[in-house]
Formats: sequence, structure tokens, C-alpha cells
Amino acid sequence: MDFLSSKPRLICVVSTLLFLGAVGSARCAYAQQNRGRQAAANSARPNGSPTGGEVHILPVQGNISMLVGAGGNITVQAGDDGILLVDSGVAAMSDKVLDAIRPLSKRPLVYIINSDDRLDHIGGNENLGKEGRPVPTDSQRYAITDRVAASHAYIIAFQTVLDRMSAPTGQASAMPQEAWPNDTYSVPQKNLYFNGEAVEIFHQPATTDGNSIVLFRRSDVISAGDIFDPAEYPIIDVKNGGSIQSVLDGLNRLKEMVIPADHQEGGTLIIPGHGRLSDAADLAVYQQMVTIVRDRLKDMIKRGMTLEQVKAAQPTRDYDPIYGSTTGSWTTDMFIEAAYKSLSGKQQTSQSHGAN
Amino acid sequence: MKRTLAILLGVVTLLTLGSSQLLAHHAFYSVYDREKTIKIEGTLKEFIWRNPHSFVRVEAPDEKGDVQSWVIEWAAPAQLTEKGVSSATLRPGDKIVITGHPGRVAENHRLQLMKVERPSDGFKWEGNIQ
Repeated sequence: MDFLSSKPRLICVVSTLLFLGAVGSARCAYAQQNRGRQAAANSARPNGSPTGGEVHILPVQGNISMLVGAGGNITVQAGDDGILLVDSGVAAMSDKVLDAIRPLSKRPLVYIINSDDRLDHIGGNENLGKEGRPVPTDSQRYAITDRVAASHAYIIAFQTVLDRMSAPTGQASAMPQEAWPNDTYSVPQKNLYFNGEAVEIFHQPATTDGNSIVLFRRSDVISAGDIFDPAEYPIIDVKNGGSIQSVLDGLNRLKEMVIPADHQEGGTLIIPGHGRLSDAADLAVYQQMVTIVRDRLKDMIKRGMTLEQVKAAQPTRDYDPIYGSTTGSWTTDMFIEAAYKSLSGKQQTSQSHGAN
Repeated sequence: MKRTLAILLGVVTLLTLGSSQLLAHHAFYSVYDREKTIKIEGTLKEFIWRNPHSFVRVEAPDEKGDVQSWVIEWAAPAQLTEKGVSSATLRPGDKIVITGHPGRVAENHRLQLMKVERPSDGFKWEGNIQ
């Protein structure tokens, strides 16, 4: 009783209890918010197609916003120099993408960086590219005769992305010429300085041999493309040089680049190819999943199991409620098959760096 | 006296600025060896249609037979358009033959384009880059 009757001690105890209560409620609120974000991401899961027919802009930090609902996530950097996009979504959503990004800068769209060659990342190249910056010229002659030169954004991508979208003279190409990258790179890294910040573009083979990671240094935001896809298992394109090991290499590289703030929250933020805005902790969870699945498959292959036997063993069963799907454009079966083939050494290609 | 000095200063400034722009645009001699000409044959990887000069990137073997990525400087879009060349004239994957002046640093594998030919359809462009 003496303890409680002492006024200063009583105040101290009450303060401590209030503090603990506040911390507890904050954590509870954060967890609920996180669950809410995950639920929102799951309900708006694109599976390569727009959902709901609307796009939404989420301010991230610094100069960066994230545009969702146009296919793959689009990273938007806007400022006094103009607008830079990482990926262009699907073609059908281009008008809505333009409406959403125009208020962010009075200057034109200058750059589109394609993180890979999937349609939900490059589909808007043609439509958005036309809205690009005017090409400086002292002659109007070619501006009239050549629409591409008259006004077009720079479309940056790793060399193999252009290889797959284009075709030699006289042959039909996968995409119209206006959609092709017009500023490719074939070295490990390409740099820009735009809107007052350094922008680093890294070649990181992962789901294909042509993935790019884009780091906005001042804003401290990374656009990861399909290397990091918390909405589903990685979409591995084995025929075009993708492998589960490359995806893991890419995730490990991202882990080295991302610096979390206090309590492993915030800090560097990551805009994934699909799904919700993420931080270091989200990346770690996904990287661990891919590592564990890779190890399980390697062990099964080592024991001589066929693809059918591996599928029957359900090596991803514990992760399927979060990342799996039995319908849509990328099912769990498709993921296991691609990962199995890439680990067993079938259909692998490699892309080396040449001069730029 | 002051007025004359001001006019003189203005003229000198204009001349200085003008000559630096001239040097910037005509720096070919410092980059390329105009006394030499080489020919390469390979696959076009990219045609960059851009001011002040367009570029093509070609994968072709060097004199040792090793495949290299060559960066080749071409003319400005306005000059090419006058001769009927557009940004769609050359496409990635085209097999082309290029004759040009090599860069002064051989390992950079650069060329200043003098002539480009595409044997598959007989396309040919030849000229001096302005």
C-alpha cells in the first residue's frame, strides 16, 4: 500500500501503463492496416489485365508515385524536367494513365523505361510514347514526314527487350515500331539525371534475360518490375532466359540495395511489378519463400523426381494460399513447371553484356 | 571610347561563342581517323534516330573475327529525310554492310558512317555527314 500511496510512484505506474497501452494499440492498428493493404492488393490483383477499369495514383515518397490498375504497376517520377515512367501498362488503359499523370508535371513525358517485355509492362508504349517530348530540330521537314521523330518519348530497355519486340525489314514484328524501345542498353548499368535526381537502371536477368531494376537515388525508391511480385509466384519465362535462380539473384540484389528505417519499417520503398507498395520486410518474406521453394525443387530434382512427381508432391503447398492460383494467366502449376525446367537445366539461355 | 570598347567586347564574345559551337559540331576529326576506311558486315541491333546525329549499333566481327558491338555515327534526321531515309528504314535484325572511318581508339569499335548497304533488298545510302 505504501508503494501505491506514494504519489510520484503512482504517477509513474499510470504513465507506464498508458504508454504500454498506446504502443499496443498502435501495433494493433498497424497490423490491421497491413492486413487491409494485403486484402486490397489481393482484391485488385491484376493477373495481367486491368481491374475495375480505373487507375489510381499513390504518392510514394520524394518525386515518386505508383500508378495501379493499368496492368502491371507503373512507377511515375514527375518534376520540373517532365515525367518518367517505369513501364506503361496495357494499351487499353493508356488514356486513363495519361489523364492520371498529366497533372503531376507541366512538362511532357520524356522517358519510359521498360522493366521487361511482358505485355502488361510494355502495352502502353505506343500510345504513351506519342505523347512524349518534341524532338529538337532546326528543320520542320522531317517532323512532317516522320511522326516518330516529330514527338516521341525515349523508351529505354535492355537490348533483348527490343530484340523480342522487333523484326528485320520485311518481317512482321511482335509490336508496332512506335512501341519499340528507341534507347536500349547492353551494359550492366545505365544512368540518367532527371527531375533533380540520379536514376540508375541496372540490368538484372531474372524472369527473363532482359529485366531492369530502376533506383531513384534521392527519393529512395526502387522500381523492381517482375523480379519482385508479392501478388503471386514469380512469372518465369524460361524460353526467354528466365530462371528461378535468376529471380533469386535479383531478389538478393534488391535486398542489398534496400535500407530499412527504424524497426525494419519504411526506409527504401519498393514498387513491385504487381501488388502493393513494399519495404524491406516485405521483400525479405518473398525472398525467403523463393529460396525455400528453390531448395525443395533442387532436392527433388537431385532425387530424380520427374516434373509430374514434383507437381504431385505439392512443393509449394504451404505458400499457395498467399501466392498460388489455379486459374488465370499464371497458375501454381505453371510456376512449378518453369522453376523445375530452369533448375534442371532445360531451355536455359544466357545474355552477356556487350558495349553500349 | 567606352561605347567602342563595349561594341568590341560584344563582337569578341559573339565570335567566341560561335566558334565553340562550330567546334562542338565538327569534332569528327578528333574522334574518327578520316585517313582510314574500314568495312564491317553484321546484324543491326538498334537504329537511334536522333539529333544532332543518328546512330546505329551493329554486331559484327572485327579483323580478328571476334564479334563486337559497333557504335556507328550517322547523319542528322533532317539530312537523312532529304534522301528518303526514315526511322523505319533500318530495323533490328537487318543484315547490313557499313563502310566508314574508324574511331581513333580501336577498342571502342566506333565508326563514322560513309556508306550503308542492305543486300537483301538493295537499299543503299552514301554521303558525307553534315
